[in-house]
Amino acid sequence: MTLMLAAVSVPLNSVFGTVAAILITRNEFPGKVLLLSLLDMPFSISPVVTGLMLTLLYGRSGWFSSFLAEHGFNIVFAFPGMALATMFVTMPFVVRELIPTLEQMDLSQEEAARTLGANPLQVFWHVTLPNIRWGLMYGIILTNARAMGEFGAVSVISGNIIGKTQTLTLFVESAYKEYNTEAAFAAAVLLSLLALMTLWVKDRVEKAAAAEAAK
Amino acid sequence: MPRSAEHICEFAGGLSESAGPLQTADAQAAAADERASANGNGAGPASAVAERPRTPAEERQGFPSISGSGGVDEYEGIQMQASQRTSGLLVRVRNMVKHFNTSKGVFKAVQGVDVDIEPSSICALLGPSGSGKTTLLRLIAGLEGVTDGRIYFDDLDATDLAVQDRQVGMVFQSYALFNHKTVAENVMFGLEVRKLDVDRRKRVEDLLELVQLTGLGDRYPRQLSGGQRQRVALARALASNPKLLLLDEPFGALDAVVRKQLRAGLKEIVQTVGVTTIIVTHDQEEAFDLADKVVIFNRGFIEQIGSPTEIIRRPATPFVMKFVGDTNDVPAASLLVRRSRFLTSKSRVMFRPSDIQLFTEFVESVDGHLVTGATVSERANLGWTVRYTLRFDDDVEVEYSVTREQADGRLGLDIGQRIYLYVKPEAMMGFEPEDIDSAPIL
Repeated sequence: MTLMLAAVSVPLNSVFGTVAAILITRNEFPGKVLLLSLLDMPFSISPVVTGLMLTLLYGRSGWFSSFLAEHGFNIVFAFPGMALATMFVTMPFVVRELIPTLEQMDLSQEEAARTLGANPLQVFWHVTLPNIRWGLMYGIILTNARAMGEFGAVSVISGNIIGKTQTLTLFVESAYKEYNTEAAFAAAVLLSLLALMTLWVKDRVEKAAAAEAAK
Repeated sequence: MPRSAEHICEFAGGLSESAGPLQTADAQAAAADERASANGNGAGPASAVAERPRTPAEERQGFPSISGSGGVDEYEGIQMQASQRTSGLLVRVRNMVKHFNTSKGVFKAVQGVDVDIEPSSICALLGPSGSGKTTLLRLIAGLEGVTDGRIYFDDLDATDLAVQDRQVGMVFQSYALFNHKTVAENVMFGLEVRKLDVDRRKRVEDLLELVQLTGLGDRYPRQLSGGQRQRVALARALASNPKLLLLDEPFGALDAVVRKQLRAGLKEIVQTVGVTTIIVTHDQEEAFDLADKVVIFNRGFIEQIGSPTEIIRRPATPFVMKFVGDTNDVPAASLLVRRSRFLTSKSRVMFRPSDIQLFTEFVESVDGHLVTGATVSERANLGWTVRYTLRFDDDVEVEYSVTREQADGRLGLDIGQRIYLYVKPEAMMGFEPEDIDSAPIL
């Protein structure tokens, strides 16, 4: 369940985060500052409140409940809800990592690519992406780490149905509360291993970035 | 396919003519002859300028594009032509206006500019910073959208053409190389994204040879010096054989020695390739050395268009006069101006220090010009030149420079010495202070 959550939220957040970061840095529009602070909201709101918000919106008596019932979607106490909660909580990482990188990027590289005949997609693929790739990578790693470790929001919206909507983190909590210490610690070790793996990947990425900068 | 291969070979042949900076005068002459004959009907390079180049449509008829070989026919590029030298583009800018909306209001960067740039010529856009020269270049490149006005490439209205379809090569002050790609990959980039049907390896080698960077293809831009990077940028801009080369302060980030080297190299390369070139610079020496035609900008307007000689000899406006050389600036009511019998309605008058005729002994008049007495009040040592400040009896001061040799010899002046001088009225120009102001208007 934990891995599936990460598998869904990390790519989605990476793609939308990159697009959002590029649009925010390349355009001047009224309300830009407001949008930037909105993006930081998941950091400032308690994850439990996030879970409650989502329940309120999509739950049985929520705003979208009639629409969802009509189309047979089940969001609260199911995987889509948990994915939504995880994505909301991890939303700022990619955007926040990319905005400074994009802001200090020399635009003339992209302009040069355009004069050389590249269409916008080619410019992004050959010029923009290679320039921001380390920042993007770092954002993805942070997103991944948070997606795996998220507790508050997911615990509220998942209902913690054993074997169905229970993530590893939720399992640790419930096992610990039921005095099933061995199981809790076993799961905790597994989580720690995942975290260590994430750290290791991050370390490799940073080394690769440093090597590239030295080249 | 065979045509492209042939093209590349001929291109390489052209390169060998420009065999480095130590090229002899004979070789240059030979190259010039070749260029002349390449123009057909035996006309010299001068008349080639007047000759209208063929439109893209005509070219397509003469040299049908290799359609069906993978998207190549989208581009009306000159790479399809069999000729080695590119024909160069006639660029016409009409009534160009560009306003920027800034937080402080509307900034009028370019305010109604008309320029014609002849095929295969080098045109320099010269002016102080904020005068609109870079904006005009970016408008021609398509990197900025116009507020009003049209841009024509030959007979084609290019105003609304996308950047990638304009077939221009551009070199930026900041090099703008792709740091994650090798030198060879940088040069190849244009060929790849345009899917040009040429032998790319060969082409890259030829171009690196042209900019004298043979063998550095596997390096990364970070491993090169500034001058080398800018040469890579030039090779990259020329890779897909553009008809128009745009240079935005190309040597701005380089030191004086490298600057001069690259300048000589650039002129040679551009003449070999035959591409129409527009260079933006604030370095006058660079503009006058490189360009066939200099366009002087101030505050979004053109002050003067002309050959380097015309601009030096006959400045059209007070701004140009002040901008392209040393000037002395005196009130119109001063003793010197009155005795020179120069009449003007403006409040101030300027003239070049080199137009001062100086005598150490009193004479009433020389060739009908009344002399004015003055005292040497200051002597500044500027290395190879010595600058004297001369004070007239009405306390107006002017500067007068002589070379070190003159100062040590016959024209040596002492502080406090009485001297007599005149300036021909033809050498004077009346102006108001706001005529020479270059601060951008917001």
